Amino acid sequence: MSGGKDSMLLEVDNLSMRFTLRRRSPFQPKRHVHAVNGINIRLRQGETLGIVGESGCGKTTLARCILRLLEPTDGSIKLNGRDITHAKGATLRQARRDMQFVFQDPYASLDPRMRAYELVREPLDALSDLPRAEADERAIALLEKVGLTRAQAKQYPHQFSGGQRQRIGIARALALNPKLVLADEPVSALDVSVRAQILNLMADLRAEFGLSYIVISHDLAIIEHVCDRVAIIYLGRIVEQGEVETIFNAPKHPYTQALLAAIPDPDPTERRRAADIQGDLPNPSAPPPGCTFHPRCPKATALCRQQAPEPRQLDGREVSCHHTD
Amino acid sequence: MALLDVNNLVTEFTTPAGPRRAVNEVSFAVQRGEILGLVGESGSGKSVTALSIMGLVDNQVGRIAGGSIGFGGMDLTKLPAAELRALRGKRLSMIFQEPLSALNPCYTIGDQIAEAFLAHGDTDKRKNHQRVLDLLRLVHIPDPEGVLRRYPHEISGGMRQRAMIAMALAYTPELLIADEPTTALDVTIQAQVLNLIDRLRRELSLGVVLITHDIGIVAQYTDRVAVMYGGRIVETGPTAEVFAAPKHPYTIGLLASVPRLRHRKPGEKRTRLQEIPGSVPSIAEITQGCRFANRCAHSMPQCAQQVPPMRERTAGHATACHWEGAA
Repeated sequence: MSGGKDSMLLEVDNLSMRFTLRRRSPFQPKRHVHAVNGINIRLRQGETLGIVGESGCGKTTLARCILRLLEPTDGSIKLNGRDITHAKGATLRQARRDMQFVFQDPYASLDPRMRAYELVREPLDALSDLPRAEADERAIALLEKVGLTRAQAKQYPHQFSGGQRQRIGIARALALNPKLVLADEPVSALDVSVRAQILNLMADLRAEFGLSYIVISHDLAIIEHVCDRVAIIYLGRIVEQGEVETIFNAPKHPYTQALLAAIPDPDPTERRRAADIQGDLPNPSAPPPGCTFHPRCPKATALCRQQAPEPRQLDGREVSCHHTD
Repeated sequence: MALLDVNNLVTEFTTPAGPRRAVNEVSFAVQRGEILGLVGESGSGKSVTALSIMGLVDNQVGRIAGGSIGFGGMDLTKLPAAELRALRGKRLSMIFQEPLSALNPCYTIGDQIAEAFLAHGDTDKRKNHQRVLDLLRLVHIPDPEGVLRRYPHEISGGMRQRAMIAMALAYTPELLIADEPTTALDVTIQAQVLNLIDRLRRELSLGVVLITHDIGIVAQYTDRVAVMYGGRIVETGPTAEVFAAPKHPYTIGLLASVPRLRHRKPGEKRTRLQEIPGSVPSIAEITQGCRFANRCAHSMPQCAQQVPPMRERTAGHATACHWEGAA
């Protein structure tokens, strides 16, 4: 990398994660699922990247690889210029301080037997050498930062509402002053009227701490609202990637177009019935040949059935499609 | 006459602290061929309203404590269990949120759909097989002969939900209740399922109660909408009108808090989302007056004491709020 090296927080190159499927008999050939297939991502300091895709497309696997909860089978991940692809032990623990995770379901991701401040203190206990009293103070300060009170810090998760629990989850992620926060569907488990609170809180914290986010979501309106750049994933590959405004205002890949058209617009005066995109997501262990989207694509030709398109630059974004007139 | 006429429905559940109302004096009507959207957050009482109509409230823990549910000249709340069972699946049907947990994993899709016929005494196997095939074709399941023999885990989520819809349509019901039918599905599949429900209500002139928390779905697919909060309907009216000029502070806040796609011009700065402070009340809390009062920007002393009555503001558009700005 030249020039912008200082500002580049995360560089993911040609990342692949392959899982081996269990065989029904030892005589069967080994089968694999390519959950993540040759993904390239760049994230600058302070930037927010959205990752969009349907269930089973590999977005959570990608997040787990970046956080090194999984060791990728191929490619490389650099955080702050340091290669962490196969980091182990102390190096990995150091890297983990810089990246934290906010989970989807605040009902399942908090230990019911720990008080709020203990939950926030846990990462400090694990990865920093702050004395106990200071760690307690920091945990309480963080809880106040995310909008809870000092008195509430002594409460258990069940005494909080979903939105408040997600606030605890966020405070916990911020405990170690990370540079990168990955949020996997951070509001999808919350009530609609509470979502705006959490999204605004995330925006405030980003400004205050200069955080970078990777937000995984299937809700395109939320992605558009919080992200600078977006990557659309289909069956383990990025099909289109670039600035949110560029892509959402003029999507080039047929899949991105279909996704955007399928979102019901909250405006009853503009009724449109999206031409349904046909069929379901194919089985990832037996992806179709060529472009994996071709069985559902209205523009598919013989070329698409034979040859997977390479990503190329077009109108300020990267898109992988043979037919982007 | 309306197909379904719910009047002052009250459904109570027994809790350790005594009976609590999950549905409180709810009234609405559904015409044939109409989609009514029932919108609300978790705990607002929308699913319990649906279960009350279907007579599926578990009588160990809950009961319909008041009001009436008019359907085809009968009051469903007064109907003996056997008669209700004869209606369910024949004239009244429901599809559930999570198709994987609503389907029995031990039976093939074909057998489960055929069960709807067996339950109503149609035991001719060959005829049922044909009817199941027709149903699967009606809901556009590709390769119906193959799907018939599959188990729920062997087909995709979208297919399962379509199989559920097929089951609900076994006898061409008059009323279909869809409780968050697409929450578990991906957006492209969601569009397929909703378009299917929309097409069927046109072709079969079904009355549909579509329960959802997705404002976009309400805007695109419903004719009228009833907004529920804390067990009560707080606002109801034609969808276009409620969206154009919401009256209740909760509806106003809800509509404003949802981020909208492509509302920002290129280069324009992003705005903060409007928040509704606080969180959704639990039915265990007993409150006097309006349940939204503690989150409401327009709350007045009166709101804490007296439940606001439903008042019609313009033709067909009513709201339950003391705030005069709501007029």
